[in-house]
Amino acid sequence: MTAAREVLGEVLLTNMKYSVRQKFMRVVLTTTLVALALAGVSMLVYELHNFRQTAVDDLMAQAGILGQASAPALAFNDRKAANENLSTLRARPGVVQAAIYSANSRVFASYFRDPAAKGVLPAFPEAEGYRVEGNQLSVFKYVRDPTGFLGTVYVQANYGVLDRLWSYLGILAVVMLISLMVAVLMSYRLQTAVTTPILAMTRVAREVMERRDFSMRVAKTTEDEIGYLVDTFNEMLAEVGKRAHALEQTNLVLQRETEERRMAEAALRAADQRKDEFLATLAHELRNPLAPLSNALEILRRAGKDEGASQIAREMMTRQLRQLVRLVDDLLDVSRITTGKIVLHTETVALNSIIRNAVEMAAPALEARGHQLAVDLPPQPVMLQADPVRLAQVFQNLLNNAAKFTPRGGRVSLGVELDGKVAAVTVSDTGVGIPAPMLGEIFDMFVQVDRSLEREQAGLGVGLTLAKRLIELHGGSIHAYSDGPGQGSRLVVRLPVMEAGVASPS
Amino acid sequence: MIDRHAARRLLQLLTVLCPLLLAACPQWASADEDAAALERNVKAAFIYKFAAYVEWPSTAFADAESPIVIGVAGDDAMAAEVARITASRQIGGRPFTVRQVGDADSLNGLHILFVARADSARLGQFVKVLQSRPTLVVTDGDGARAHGSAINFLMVDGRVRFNIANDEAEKRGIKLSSRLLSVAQNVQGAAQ
Repeated sequence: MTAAREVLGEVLLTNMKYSVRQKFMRVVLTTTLVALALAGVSMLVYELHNFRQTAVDDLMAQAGILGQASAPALAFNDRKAANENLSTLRARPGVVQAAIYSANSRVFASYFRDPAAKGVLPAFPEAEGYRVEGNQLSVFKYVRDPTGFLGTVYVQANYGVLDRLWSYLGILAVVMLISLMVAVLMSYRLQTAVTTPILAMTRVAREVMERRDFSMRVAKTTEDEIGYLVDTFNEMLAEVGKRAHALEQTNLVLQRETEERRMAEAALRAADQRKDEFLATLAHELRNPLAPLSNALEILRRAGKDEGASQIAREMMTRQLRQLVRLVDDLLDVSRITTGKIVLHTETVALNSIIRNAVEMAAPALEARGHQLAVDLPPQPVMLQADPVRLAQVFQNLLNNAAKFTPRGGRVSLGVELDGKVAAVTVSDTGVGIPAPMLGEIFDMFVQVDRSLEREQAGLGVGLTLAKRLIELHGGSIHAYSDGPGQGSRLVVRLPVMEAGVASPS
Repeated sequence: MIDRHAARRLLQLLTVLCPLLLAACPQWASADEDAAALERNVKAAFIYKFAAYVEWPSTAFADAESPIVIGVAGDDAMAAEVARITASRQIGGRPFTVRQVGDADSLNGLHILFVARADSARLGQFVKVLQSRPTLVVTDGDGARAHGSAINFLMVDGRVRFNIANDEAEKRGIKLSSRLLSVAQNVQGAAQ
């Protein structure tokens, strides 16, 4: 029983080889087939039983009538009459042969449908009843009259049950065929209604998995459980899509933050390194003047009254001291920049005078390198609200840089252009230039483009940082331009100027 | 014609000689007696069986269990045979009574009267006495018909058969079954 159920289950449902559609069809077909077969077989059994009963009853009745009619023939030993009675069976072509046996079990009269092919009659009559042999039905019926038992009537007829069986099976087959076709048709329509949305869902699910496109949706075609399933599936898809998107966004943010952190870390490390290098440079710069100073002191001690030597020694010491002062000033500026304690002493001042001061201060460096300086100042006075010392310091720094980073005998030019309320001061040279990646960085603290400069030329790398900070404090801006290494560089300082009317010479 | 004449003489001779021959030869006599006994037996059985196919008027019986009375005239052996056959038998719940009929006075209450060939001379007298009483008259021999018998035995191909005069039966209020008529050798008078 259990095994049978398992086999049935295997065939019908659980076998994963088959699609839902095939399983559906199998269930419907099997159910229909089983139902039809059961109905057909039970009707067949009932019908055959019925048929046999009818045939037996019919033949028994026939034998009874024959017996009744033949009773006097038996009673009065009239074979002729008995034979005549039997010959009435000719009206029934189903009867193959018949006989009347006398009371002493002898054949009294006989009948054969086909006299030529004489069959074999039973030698003796049997007890009242019927007997089925193949397609033949035989009945025996006692003959009685009021005097008692007279004999037995025997009738054998074609059963016809096989013919009946075949025609019945034929009808059954036709009915089954038609029923199956109807079942297949109906189930096909039904299963299409059921499986189409499921197939659509399967397809969408696969595409979603393959393309990671959560915006896909299954079209809803019915309002039943399948429709509800489709709705739920779509909602789930939307939910999954939403979450996947959120996760992606989070990932992106995290990635960006990581990148930023990494860059910040790199920047910090770079700044730290620059600071280390700055310290090394500073120590070196501070140590450099000490040897000449020490030498000059020794010269002074030994020179005694030698005015010439003393003079040289004093000049040497003056120069080295100035260098030291400059370095210490730079250091102070660096600390001011980092602590934001630079204070401007602003006043109304003419740009030209500031530039002239700067040029004067830078002149020794320019001349020392044999550079040619071209200054182009505007004819009209340009007035600024500015700290003249600091601003002069900026321009001097720019000129010093130009002198420093330009090979001997180069050309340095300074020009001023007015554009409305902005004065653009440009310092350009024919020097080593600035590599494009460094254009933005040269204003950072401790950054130096070329560390291979002669030591006496080297600075602390804070000049441009200080300049940028000061210009910004004045509400202006500074930018560097260069066409590349060896192509010279150009630094442009833009400063806001005062209204012409307000301007007055300082 | 000469042949027929010779045959008749031969027959007469045989009639005379036969008893002698029978007496002389016991075997022959025995065979003849056997045949006669068989014929008597069959006829006695027929007489008994006729009762199953005959319907008497209700007035013929005193009550439902009154016996069927059979009278045998002119043949004591037959009377004994009929009595033997019908002994302890019933038809339709009625037993049988068999009696020998000597003269016309003893015909009262008979349902079946068998008149043997030997007594056929008195048949006319019997019929006259019976008038229209419900008695089935059974005879044995040619010509009995004319004397008012309803059933008359005859031999056909060595077998006992009978003719029926249905009108004679009806005259006495007796109904003969059509099934009985169907086995009669010859039926006279309309069947009901």
